[in-house]
Amino acid sequence: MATTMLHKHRVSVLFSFGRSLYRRINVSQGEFGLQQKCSAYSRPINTLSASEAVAEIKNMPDESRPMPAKKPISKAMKAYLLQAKNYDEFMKKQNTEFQIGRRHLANIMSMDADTMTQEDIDQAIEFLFPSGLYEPRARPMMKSPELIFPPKKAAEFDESGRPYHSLFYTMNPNFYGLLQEAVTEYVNLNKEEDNMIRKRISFNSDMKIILSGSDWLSQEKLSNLLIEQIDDAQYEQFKNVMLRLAEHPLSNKVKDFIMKYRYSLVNEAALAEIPKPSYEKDGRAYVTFKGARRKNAYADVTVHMPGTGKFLINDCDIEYFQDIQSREQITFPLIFTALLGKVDVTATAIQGGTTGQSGAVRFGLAMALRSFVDDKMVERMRLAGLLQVDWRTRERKKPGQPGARRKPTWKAR
Amino acid sequence: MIGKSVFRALNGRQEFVKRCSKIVIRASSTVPQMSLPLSSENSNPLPFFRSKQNSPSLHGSNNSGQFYTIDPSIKKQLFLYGGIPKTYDDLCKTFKETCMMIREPALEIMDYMKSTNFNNAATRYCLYGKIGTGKSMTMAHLLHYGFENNFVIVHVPWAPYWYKFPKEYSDCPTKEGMVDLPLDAVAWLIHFKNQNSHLLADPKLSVCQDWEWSKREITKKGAPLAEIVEMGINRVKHSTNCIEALLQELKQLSDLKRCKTLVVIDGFNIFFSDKTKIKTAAFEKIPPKRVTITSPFVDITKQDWSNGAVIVSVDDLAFFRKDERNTHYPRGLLGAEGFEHLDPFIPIETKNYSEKEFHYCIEYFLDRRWIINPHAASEEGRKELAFLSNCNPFNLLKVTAPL
Repeated sequence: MATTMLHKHRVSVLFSFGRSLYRRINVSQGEFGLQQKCSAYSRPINTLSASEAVAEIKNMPDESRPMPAKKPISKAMKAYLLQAKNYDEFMKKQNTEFQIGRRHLANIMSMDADTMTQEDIDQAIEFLFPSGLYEPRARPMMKSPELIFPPKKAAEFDESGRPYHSLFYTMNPNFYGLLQEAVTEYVNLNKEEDNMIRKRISFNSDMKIILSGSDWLSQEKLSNLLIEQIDDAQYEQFKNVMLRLAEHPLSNKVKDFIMKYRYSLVNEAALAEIPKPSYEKDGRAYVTFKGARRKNAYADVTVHMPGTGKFLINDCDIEYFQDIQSREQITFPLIFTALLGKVDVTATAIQGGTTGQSGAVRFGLAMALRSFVDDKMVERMRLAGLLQVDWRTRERKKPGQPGARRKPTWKAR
Repeated sequence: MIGKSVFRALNGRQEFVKRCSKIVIRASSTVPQMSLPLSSENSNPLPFFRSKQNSPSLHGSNNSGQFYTIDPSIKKQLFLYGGIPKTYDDLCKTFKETCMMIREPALEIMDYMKSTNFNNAATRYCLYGKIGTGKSMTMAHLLHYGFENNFVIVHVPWAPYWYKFPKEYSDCPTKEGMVDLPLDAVAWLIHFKNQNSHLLADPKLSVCQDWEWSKREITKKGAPLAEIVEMGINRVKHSTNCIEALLQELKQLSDLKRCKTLVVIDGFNIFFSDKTKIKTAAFEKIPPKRVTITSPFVDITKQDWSNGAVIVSVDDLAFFRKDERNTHYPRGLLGAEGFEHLDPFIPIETKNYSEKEFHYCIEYFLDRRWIINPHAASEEGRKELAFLSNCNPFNLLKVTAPL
């Protein structure tokens, strides 16, 4: 039995090979030869590299050499890995079912399955399964399983229990990863700022991100995005960090990163379509906006462009509205766009009362005036609130109370 | 003894203090001040929106839109007991002058009156128009014209006051089923006396017949007309009878060419309505025709006399709120009965301000510092005001009040 210490590779080998065999190992520059002393074998000397030899030794099946026993996977980890696997399988199955369902639906509705969009599916389902339920989420729906089933995180650690994410032990790796990313961006922006100061490049307001028109994702939405439960303190922290980043004079460079966590307040789809004016026989341009609403009133407003400032509401002049507030509501869009004496306005208003009708006419008028005004003015009108439907309605009276907010007279005793 | 230099210094300091106080007053206002003189008397020549003619008889279409000033003494005589609408009267107090715009309706009626043959039956003019367009103001203008031309003025400032806010009512002792408004009648006689004080002294105005008030009180034929007026004022019991007598006398006197009468009644349509707030002793609500004061004034608007003119206005505001007829046309407001009574008449419409009149009015307001907001004076501001008020005179006043 010979023992050799291979210091270079810190391998100590203690073995006995076969029946009475002798080894003579030569050490020279990381090589050693395996030599069988027994004359029965007349194999040539093999020269292996150290790593290959180690591998060979490791793989040698030998009961007499006690191998380091494999760590058994704990039950918890087993269950966790099983759960992750099951989820993946489940989603796969749901997906195939959805795809089959899509094809069936396309068949039923005689649509082309390949070009069918989610919108088409929604319309088809609404048609086939009409529902009187108020809550949209309670109505029948057919959507891709990713949208319906809450997302679960993939396996967060491997078989040996080593987590994949470096921040796993914070319990909210995605969240803290996001914060770290924000901080990293901030540090980079600081470096850039320093560079700019050194090179004497001037700053201007274009380099800073404009946050108006959007707002931070709500706590719930953020939790869904990060697939982690975010509590109030964490949400506050998130907002503070992101705001700090956004306040940086060069924050426009990280606009994509910041905007991922903000949602737009503007219904851009509706505002993008400004109608083109039609033309009367005498060449006057006009635009009609129908269905302007305020409280219970509806108004249709027609604006003729080369005009003299006439105003007709239900075939009466502005004296139809007797109180000054209603008249000012109607005047506001005209003054704001500086078109007061330059257009003729004809409006019809039904239902509602004075305030409702005047508010409806104001909205209709503003929407109609968009066609006669440039984009900058349209943006200013939007900011002024002229292009937004006033959703306020009369509050419901509650039982046990005389009015919406009024409570019965409070008595001390 | 104050030396010249000290005197000069003192004066100088007074001047300085005066100027300082003006500046201080100006600085304390939040709006940049405009450098217009506060009083128009010191400025020569008159600004374009003011008329040199302060006498209505000399007003013509070239004065249209301009403001003319009413002398305070004339105002006291004519309008002490009503005639200028209260809102406008408050404005006159604010402006420290009584100025009125010369407008087309008034000029038209004055034109007709200048070319009327007074031998014919008294012409009846009916002023109508939307609320706030200047019916009462036109009447005030015409009152001034009548006053200047020595008409005997029979003026009811606002007839509905009698029926909506009667001072006191009691069952008529002589006529059955009728109700008296004794105090209101007395008030009207005082008003009449005040307006016509200069004419009542004229000996030509003497009573044409005997009037017996009671067994002991008789006004004999040939007595001055003023006696009837005095009788009515002093003896409350006979006040309505005195009014009746007075108006009948005036009709006769006008026929006899001893005087010419101008009847001016605001809110004439109330006489033909159904409701009043007046009740009989039995708490029964009665219509105006059962009130004794109604008949003399309805009578004098008939066409059975000459040498005079009758100017009447019809207004939706004359009715009670609930009974408003939402029209401003005479036929709608007078009803069938009233229209037949007044027909034939010359209808004169009062309208919202024309562009020129609006412009002049804004200039007047600026002059009087009613509008001090500089944006209101600008082109866009005026457009906005015109749009908001629809050039209605009353609305314009209200809209510019906070400016």
